[in-house]
Amino acid sequence: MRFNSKLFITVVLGTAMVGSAIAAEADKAAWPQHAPDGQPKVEGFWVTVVYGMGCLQNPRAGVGCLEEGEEPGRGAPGKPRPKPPKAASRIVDTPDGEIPYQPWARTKQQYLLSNYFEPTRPEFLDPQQLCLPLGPVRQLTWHDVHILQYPGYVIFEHEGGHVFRIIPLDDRPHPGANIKLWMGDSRGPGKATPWSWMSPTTIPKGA
Amino acid sequence: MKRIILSLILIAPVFGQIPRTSDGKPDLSGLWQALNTANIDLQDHAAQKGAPAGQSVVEGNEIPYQPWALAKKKDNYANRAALDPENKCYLPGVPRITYLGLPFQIFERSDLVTILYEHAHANRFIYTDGTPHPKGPIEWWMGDSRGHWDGDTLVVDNVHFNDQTWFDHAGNFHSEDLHVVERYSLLNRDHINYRATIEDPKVFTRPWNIDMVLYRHVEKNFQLLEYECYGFDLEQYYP
Repeated sequence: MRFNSKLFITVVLGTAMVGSAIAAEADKAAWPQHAPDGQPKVEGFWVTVVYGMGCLQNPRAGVGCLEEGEEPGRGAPGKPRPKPPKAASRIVDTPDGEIPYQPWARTKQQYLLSNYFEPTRPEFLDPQQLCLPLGPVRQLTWHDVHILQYPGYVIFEHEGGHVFRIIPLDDRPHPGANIKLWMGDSRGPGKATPWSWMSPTTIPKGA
Repeated sequence: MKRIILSLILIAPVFGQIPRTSDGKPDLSGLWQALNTANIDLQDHAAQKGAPAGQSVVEGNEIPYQPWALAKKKDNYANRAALDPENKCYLPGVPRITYLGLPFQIFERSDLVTILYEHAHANRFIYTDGTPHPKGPIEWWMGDSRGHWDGDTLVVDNVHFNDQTWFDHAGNFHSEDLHVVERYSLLNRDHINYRATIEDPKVFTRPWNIDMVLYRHVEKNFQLLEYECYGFDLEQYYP
């Protein structure tokens, strides 16, 4: 699966908008404060208000954005569809808040979803259920993330699954394209700006 | 000959210098790896199929087990293929994560040293801000780490382990009362002397020490990758 950096930026920004800091409140008037190497100080423990690991379009909905009692692709038989609690879609740059899949990819997504609850093959198992790393986007929606800043680096240490990302803030090249990584490979620009270091190029394997 | 000797004298201080942070502490930041066979067996051992011979990293080559614990260690060794927690991809604990054979990266600042390991995304936070260990009992795979500087040596006190990890593939083990004190001392820019004192009154008759050298990776663009050992049987399904 090729990573869509635009989608990543969208989700991260959306997450940031609905997220809140657990860490001590900084001086808002002076925000963002900067470290000596120019990084905006964003260190601390962060979490999304709603995890939303099962649905980007409505983070309060369950897996596959299904409503309670609804079966994938059919709706709940003989039963009125309950109204799910609603949260803003984290897809902020499409008119309907949906993921802009290509047709073949939408078909595949629906196929995986239709087999989600009664998996008959290994590929139907959600990687999260196996505690595999979730990739850089979805991992942000599962438990807290501890952001650490060191000279030249930003580190994301995720409580969910005990995984981390190292983001060097320089122009070193990515490793070879044949090196596939669950959490991708991340780079920030050498000259850090408030959010630009959060838009790395990645090569994730996770869903 | 005189010229060679003079040159060596002149450059010797350069090789002896160690990098330091802005507050004057030795700067351990960088990518490091142990190059030894301690993960196979901490003690002297002959070669076996798929496992090279190696010299002991245990001072005195003796691990002072209590009698019952020595019997258990021998049983562990006999059944190591099935019982070694590393084969199950459990987090390997401290100090084993250091000499597991994969690289790790140290990030250092005055209040916190972070170590991230290529093996299974293992990570450790070594608080050097004077805070104490959290109150136990707590049983964590990687324990809880608190550090301070003793001169130019980073001394790390580790407690709150579980009893599920081994020290090596040879069945050397401990209980949940394990207490490990690590000492990281830069020998020069590219070498760390790593020494760990291991104490566990439930298992050993006295504290004992391991000692080894950690080597800095100096290859251009070297970086940590991933060794997600619990995912290899599954990754074929998530291309």
